[in-house]
Amino acid sequence: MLKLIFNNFKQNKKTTIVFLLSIVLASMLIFIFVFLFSGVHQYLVDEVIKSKGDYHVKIKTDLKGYENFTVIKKIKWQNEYVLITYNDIDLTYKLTNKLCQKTKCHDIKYNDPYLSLYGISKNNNLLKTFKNLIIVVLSLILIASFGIIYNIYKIVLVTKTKQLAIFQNLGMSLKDRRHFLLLETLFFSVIGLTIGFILSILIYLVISNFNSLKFIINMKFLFYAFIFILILVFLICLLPFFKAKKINEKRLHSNHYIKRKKKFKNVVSLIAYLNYKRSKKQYLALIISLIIFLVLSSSFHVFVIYTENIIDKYIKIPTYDFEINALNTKENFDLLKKFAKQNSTKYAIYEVSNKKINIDIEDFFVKGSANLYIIKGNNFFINKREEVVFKDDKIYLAKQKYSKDNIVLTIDNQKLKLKAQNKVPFGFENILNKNNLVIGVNDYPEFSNLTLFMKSNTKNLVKKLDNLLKDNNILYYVDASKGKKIINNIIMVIKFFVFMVLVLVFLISISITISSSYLSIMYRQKEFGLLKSIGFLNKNFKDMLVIESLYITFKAFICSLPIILFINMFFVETINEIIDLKGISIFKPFLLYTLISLLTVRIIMNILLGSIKNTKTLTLVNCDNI
Amino acid sequence: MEIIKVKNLYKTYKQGSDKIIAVNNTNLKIKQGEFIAIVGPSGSGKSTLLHILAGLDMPDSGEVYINKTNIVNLKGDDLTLFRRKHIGFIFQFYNLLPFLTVKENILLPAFFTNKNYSSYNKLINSLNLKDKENYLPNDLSGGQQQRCAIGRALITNPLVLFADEPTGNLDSHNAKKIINLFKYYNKLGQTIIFVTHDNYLAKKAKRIITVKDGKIVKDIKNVKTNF
Repeated sequence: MLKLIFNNFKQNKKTTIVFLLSIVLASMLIFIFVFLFSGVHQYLVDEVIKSKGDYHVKIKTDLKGYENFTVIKKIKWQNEYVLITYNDIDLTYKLTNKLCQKTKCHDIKYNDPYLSLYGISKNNNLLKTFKNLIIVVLSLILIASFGIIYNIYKIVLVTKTKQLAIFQNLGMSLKDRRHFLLLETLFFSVIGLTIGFILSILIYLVISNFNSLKFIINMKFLFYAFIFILILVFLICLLPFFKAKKINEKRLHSNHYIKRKKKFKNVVSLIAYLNYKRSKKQYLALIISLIIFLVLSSSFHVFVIYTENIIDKYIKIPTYDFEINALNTKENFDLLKKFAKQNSTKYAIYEVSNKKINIDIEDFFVKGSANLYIIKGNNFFINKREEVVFKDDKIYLAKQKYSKDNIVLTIDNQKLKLKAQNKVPFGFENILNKNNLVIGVNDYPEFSNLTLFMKSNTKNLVKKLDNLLKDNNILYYVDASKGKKIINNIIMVIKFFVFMVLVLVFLISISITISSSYLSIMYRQKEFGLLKSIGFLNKNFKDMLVIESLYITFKAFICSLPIILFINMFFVETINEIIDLKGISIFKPFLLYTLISLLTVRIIMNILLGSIKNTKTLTLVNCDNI
Repeated sequence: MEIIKVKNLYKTYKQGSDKIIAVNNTNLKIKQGEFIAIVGPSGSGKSTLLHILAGLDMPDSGEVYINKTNIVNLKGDDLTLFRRKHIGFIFQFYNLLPFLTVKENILLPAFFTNKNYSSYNKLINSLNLKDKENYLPNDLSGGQQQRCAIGRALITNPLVLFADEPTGNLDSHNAKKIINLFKYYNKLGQTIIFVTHDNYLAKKAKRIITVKDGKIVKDIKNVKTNF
């Protein structure tokens, strides 16, 4: 049996390789996604642990009366707080409630950024949204994997069915035929999965070299991925068995009467049209591969655009490294100026009126208050907000309005109605100061403070600032540099992840389109030979393939359109739930990828036509046709 | 009038490490209106000879003149154009285009040549396929499919009609029908050359060429044929 299988592979090298390739590519798609996701997830977890720690909840309690310490992994005391890490992170809220029933608890603070990375924070945060989007992405990838393998196998199915019929005629029992198929499938899946797994590790290691992503093997995800592909391949490969049974029972003569309504003046267009119209099954595999390509590439392209827009619009990275505040005196002004000249590359000093007010903040990460700076000065340095308008010595914030009444900010000279949004991601409020809302009013008394904003490359600046603080010359300082780095890295990693997924999806889906186009031509060699034998010239073949590629691409375009609209509605709905972002057009990427698919199909068909051109007519006629 | 002239035709094939001589220095002359059967045992080179004459295969050396044109010198589109105008070919396994109806299969060569295909009705009636003209090949019997293939080969009124084992895939009843059709068209002046391994069918032809080991061993006029 094994010899029969290996001989079969040798005889049908091309189809064996193409089918194996489809399994490899589908596996790579899933594995690389798993590695990327695990890497990014671990990176974010590491960053959160660095800044906030890995505790689950911190409570002001003495834990008197509490006995169930078996559920707790780690306890750390920090000032008045107990930092608790549970064995099972999923039960954080439940166990904390239980704990507080047993002992007195005050000021319960959950480590939201850490919990949200495991999808269990109660706050409606961006990570939860990303989780939903990742589920969508993963679903698309799983559907694509199915489509990739099934599509190619559909073409292979024709020869496979014939093969099984021949085996039956030669006396091979049902049991043996099943055995043959199962062994063949096992071979394909083991080899394909192994190659796909190894290649995906190599590719991931290469791409993770360019950023801080670690190589993490998440056994649970990998196990699911392996099982999924295995089941998929087995299901698909067992199809011919059922198909062969069907053919034996099927009546061959159906007395199918055709009435051709359309008339074509040009015989090439006639043949192209009739071939397409009456041999739909033949083109189905190619059309499906194009649909997968169009849907995946356009959706991921839009996903990338959305991600970039969200990041660019809502994640504010301070343009300064340090902010130092002191009382508004001449000595302090000179001190700050001298300090800035010695230690900064760029600086600005403002007289500010520092009024701390409690603003009702609705955000995804943390509820709190904001510092409200009203700045007197000419040089705008912080937060580069385009909405700021300078007039005389005052800064005015132009009228802003965000949607859904989540954020309303209007300037009425005397009245302030405002709700602000803290867009600091993942709750890194300990590193960055709370989001500063710059606002101007007509007149405001007491510019009692000085604020120095500076950019600096000086080493040990924190030590120098600590010394200034010790000498009571400054009120406080904020080190934004560390937070900047972290946020920049996170943004880079997220953008990289999203972009890599797009590139991956594009490469894999286009390779499937290429292999489908290849097989669709190779399995029509007999047809081409016949046409050549009755007078088809090379030019006629070219024209025919142009028309066919147009039909196929147009069909794929029409079939993809509703799917794309549906997916993008889902994206828009999900994203608009959280952030007001204007709907990004899906049509541009969709049209772009339609054009790419048309060009790909045309190029592949042209290349293959070139090879067929050089083959003798008789050799082509004697080929097996699809 | 001589329409086919073959000079020193030589063709070999590689089979593993062996070199097989399929056509061995063959010379042949065929006149217009002849009805020729090429016979021989399996592997004698009869089909190879036929394919070369029909322009579907190229010899290693030699010349094949059809209507004074040496088709060995024609390549690519030039050969296709020549074949389109002057040659009709019938395959053993019909080889109809599965996505075209009987009518479309028959008329297809005529579309290429832009010839007037007013002869279509006469042709399809003679083939007894009028009631099947809008059916796809899959819905026809073997004999009907082969008749359709004959129609496709004859629609352009070719100089020569070649047939490679035209009855090889048919039962005896349908085989007789096909040969009778050949006889009918030959009576109308069509030059027909067919390959067969069936001596009984070969005897229906006016001239029988026997091929063995790539050489023509016998070339006789069949005076016993029942015309």
